[in-house]
Amino acid sequence: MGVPAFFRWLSRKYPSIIVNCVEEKPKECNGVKIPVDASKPNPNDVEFDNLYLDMNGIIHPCTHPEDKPAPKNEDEMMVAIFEYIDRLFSIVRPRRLLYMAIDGVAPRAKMNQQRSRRFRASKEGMEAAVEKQRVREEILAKGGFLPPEEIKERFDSNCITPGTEFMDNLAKCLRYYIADRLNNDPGWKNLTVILSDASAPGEGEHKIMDYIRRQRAQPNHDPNTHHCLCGADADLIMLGLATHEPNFTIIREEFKPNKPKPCGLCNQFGHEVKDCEGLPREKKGKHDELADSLPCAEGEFIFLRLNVLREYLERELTMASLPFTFDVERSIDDWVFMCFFVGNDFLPHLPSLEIRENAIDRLVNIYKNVVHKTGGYLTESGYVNLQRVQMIMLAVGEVEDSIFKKRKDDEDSFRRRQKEKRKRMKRDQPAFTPSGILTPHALGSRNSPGSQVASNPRQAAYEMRMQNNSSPSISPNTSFTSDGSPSPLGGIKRKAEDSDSEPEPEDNVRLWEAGWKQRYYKNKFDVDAADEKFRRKVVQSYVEGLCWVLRYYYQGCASWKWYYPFHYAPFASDFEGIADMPSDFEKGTKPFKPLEQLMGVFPAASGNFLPPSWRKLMSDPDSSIIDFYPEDFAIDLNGKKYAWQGVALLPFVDERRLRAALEEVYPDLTPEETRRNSLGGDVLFVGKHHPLHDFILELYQTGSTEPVEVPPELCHGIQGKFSLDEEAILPDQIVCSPVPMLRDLTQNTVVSINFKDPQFAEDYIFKAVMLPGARKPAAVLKPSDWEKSSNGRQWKPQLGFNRDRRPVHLDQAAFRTLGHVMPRGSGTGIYSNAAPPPVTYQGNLYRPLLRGQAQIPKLMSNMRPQDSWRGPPPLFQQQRFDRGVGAEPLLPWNRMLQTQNAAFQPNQYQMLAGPGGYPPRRDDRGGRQGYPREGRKYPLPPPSGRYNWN
Amino acid sequence: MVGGEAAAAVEELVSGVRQAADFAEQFRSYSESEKQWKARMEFILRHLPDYRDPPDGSGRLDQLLSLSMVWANHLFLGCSYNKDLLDKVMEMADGIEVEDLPQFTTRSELMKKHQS
Repeated sequence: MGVPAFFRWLSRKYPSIIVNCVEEKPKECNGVKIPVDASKPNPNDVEFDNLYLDMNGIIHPCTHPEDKPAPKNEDEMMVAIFEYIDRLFSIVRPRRLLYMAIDGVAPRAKMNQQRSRRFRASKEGMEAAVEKQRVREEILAKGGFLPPEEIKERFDSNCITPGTEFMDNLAKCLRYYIADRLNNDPGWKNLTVILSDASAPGEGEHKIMDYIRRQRAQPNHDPNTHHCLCGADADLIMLGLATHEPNFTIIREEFKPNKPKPCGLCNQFGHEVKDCEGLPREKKGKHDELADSLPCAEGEFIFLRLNVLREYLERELTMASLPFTFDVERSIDDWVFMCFFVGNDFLPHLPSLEIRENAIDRLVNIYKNVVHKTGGYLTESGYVNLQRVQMIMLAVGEVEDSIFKKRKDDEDSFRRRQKEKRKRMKRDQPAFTPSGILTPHALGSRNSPGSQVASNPRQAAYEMRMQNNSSPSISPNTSFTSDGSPSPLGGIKRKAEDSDSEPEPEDNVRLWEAGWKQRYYKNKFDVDAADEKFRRKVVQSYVEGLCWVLRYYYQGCASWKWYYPFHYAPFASDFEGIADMPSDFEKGTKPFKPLEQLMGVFPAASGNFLPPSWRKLMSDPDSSIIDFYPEDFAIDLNGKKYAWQGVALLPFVDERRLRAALEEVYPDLTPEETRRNSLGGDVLFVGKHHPLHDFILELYQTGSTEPVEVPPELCHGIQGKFSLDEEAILPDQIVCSPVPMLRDLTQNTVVSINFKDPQFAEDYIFKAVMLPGARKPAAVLKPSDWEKSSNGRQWKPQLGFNRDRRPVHLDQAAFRTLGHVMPRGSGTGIYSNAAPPPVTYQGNLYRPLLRGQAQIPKLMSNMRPQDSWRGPPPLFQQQRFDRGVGAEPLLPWNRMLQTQNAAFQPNQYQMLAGPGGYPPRRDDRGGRQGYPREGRKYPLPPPSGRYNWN
Repeated sequence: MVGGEAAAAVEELVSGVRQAADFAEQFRSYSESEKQWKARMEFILRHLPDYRDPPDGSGRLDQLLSLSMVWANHLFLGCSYNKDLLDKVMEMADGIEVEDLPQFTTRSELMKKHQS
């Protein structure tokens, strides 16, 4: 579900699910990069067993990043992907399995969305290129300077689709990468790695789910496996909940809005392409040594703890006096199902349910009201009880009318506020300025006339009152124009302001006015309101869709062929009589082949990724599928503001005609293209220390042609079947590097083999339950009865994975050391009277501190470059502790500090920090606060001898 | 009787039309409304004789279907195609009456509007 708002909503409502990652960065010593040793304990206080990578969430930002200059060529992209995986690996440090899944061909249901994305991307890419060219010519004509145009053509992100050469190459590179790390990285030593590349059908995250589901269903699975799934899509949260695994964590890059983007022409920050002036780059740092450092930090990662989300949901969904027994697991499934109403990749969302309008809360409330009547849960193991769903839908339908009205009201008042704000901003003076003794004066201009404190306040107040009375002309009926003079309301000025306010988006449907349903069907579906049959068809399709989506999440793809054949959803109030609608799907459907799918999702402009005769079908007027490839298409803003938010009205693909047309060009494929067009499977890799290593080697030696069962006892209970891989990586064979800048692996010990998940009968139902033997992780949230049961103890919130995490701690010796270098009662400042702890040691005891001081800034810059602190060193502690208390809670070491404030309040810091814990102002004039400013005469702790503040 | 012959002829014609309509029905897509389908069916039936699948099965019928979709997509979905292609289908559709056509804003128009 590509709904960014969903994640925002979730993390606001359930804040404790988020834990910031502690990340160890590779260090550099004398120009040699020392990689992170991932075999060491995880710095996040938790150990993960399995890490799953939804690779498309990695490929996209690495190949066409938004916040840094794009990589120059494919090789750089591959290296960027490798580094990104390394980073993730060093944070998560999986101990058993690494599963990498690249999107393969998707079910037909996804094709409409993919089509619309690719048609748009192609258009946007071309527009950006044209704009760049225009500005470039303009700048060059003016004599500006720009880096020479790169010879390479622009990267068409559409090539990130299964079946293209790029994806094939990526799979090769990843195989090399895996082999390299398994050979050389200590953190990978005992790891099993599975790569499911683009040739294996299915979306990445769903291939991962399928794997987990199938492993769970076999007896050797460890029910307490700790899973960590990487990816930014909101539906990963749903998928994770749908597994019913007790330990499931999602890791994703923290979303930071409004990140600076580099200019596409000169690669500098601070302006967009259209404002580029071609100015030379400013030197960064004295010798331009900071040139490569980005103005913004590298994106940070966050963990999303699904077990905490489950705690929250349990609280929210628990209902008293139910007519049936309450089961958290089942009600979580229902919650997941209801989230699909609000948005998913396969269906347009219902017009009345907007995530931004708290649609999910609304649904949950309705659900809790209705569930008493329904007599049971809405779903079971991914199958929907339509009769109960109908009750929910109709309950939503009852309030639909008021939702639309409220939406309109909110929009109107928002627009009104915006307008007023603009008006305010335009006026260069406030609407009202007090006069008399209350006249505002600039700070520091004490001696200006009129600023004297009133000698007789009573008199002054009286005068002011009289003044107000005597000027009745300034009444509420008068508004001020921009020059401050009063003018009658509704004057000419006013009109001018109206005209430059933003035009309202055109909306013919007007959902807030009576007759909205008729207008909606007329405008969106081009049918009359009386056409009951058609409306029924839409509802039937949508109901099928809901069933398909839920099945997809809980059981796997029910049908590769099914899709929702409309661009819009029906209303909730239309879901009448759905109980008896059939919700079966055609069995035994097969996915598209990769190149077939490319034909289905690419616009003609991306035809260069296809063989020539295939490409011709996309542009030849006599082609029998030319209608799939319009050159331009309509966008229905559908109440939104920007083109990218609107609905792209693209025609649907007729599968029969597509296949028929392709049959004729199939003979034109080269053997290489035929290989790329075939459906492949997963490949498993292990290094020489892995127990499976010898087993697999023996399979190759005996050359068995039959698939062989994986011995689960050798591989943490993983089951499946091995079959020999013709292109396997084998020990003592050189693994050639596909990237010129990386070396070949000459001493390889890694072995790879085809892996197939355990198979189940087609009608097998994967149970959506917690497995026997699964232990629920300890609760994280504050118990709701804490006040009663705690005997007055204070609740200590848990900030990381480990409740008993040992916070950073200064022992007594450290305090003595600090005391030693701090003022000792002989000063003259007002804080000098506060007694520091007795200092009994003299001599070199300050040395540890010195070392500490030298190290901490370095350590910090390691973690976050922008935090490296640059002020005068003696103030260092002030800043640190001050921040630790609240200003910036995100630093890893800050979080540790926060957890143990109590241990951290020796009076030294209070002394340093000044009253109230604020650092003394740097521009403090004359030391009014009695701050011992003399101390600052000492720039750095001297290399030898004693350092003293007074 | 002449009248009887005429009636038989009419019946034959009607049944022919019905047969043709039944034949065309298989090409109706699920999401097409009655109005849209009626127009497109007319388009298909009008040109069917020229595009009948030849015995060698070279798929001329699919080409006609594709052209009918180009026309329908242009009218009912707001898609635009290569100009020659559009001219061709408009000519082929000449005389087919469709009432109450929906209005659309294409993506290019939208982008232009936003720039100005």
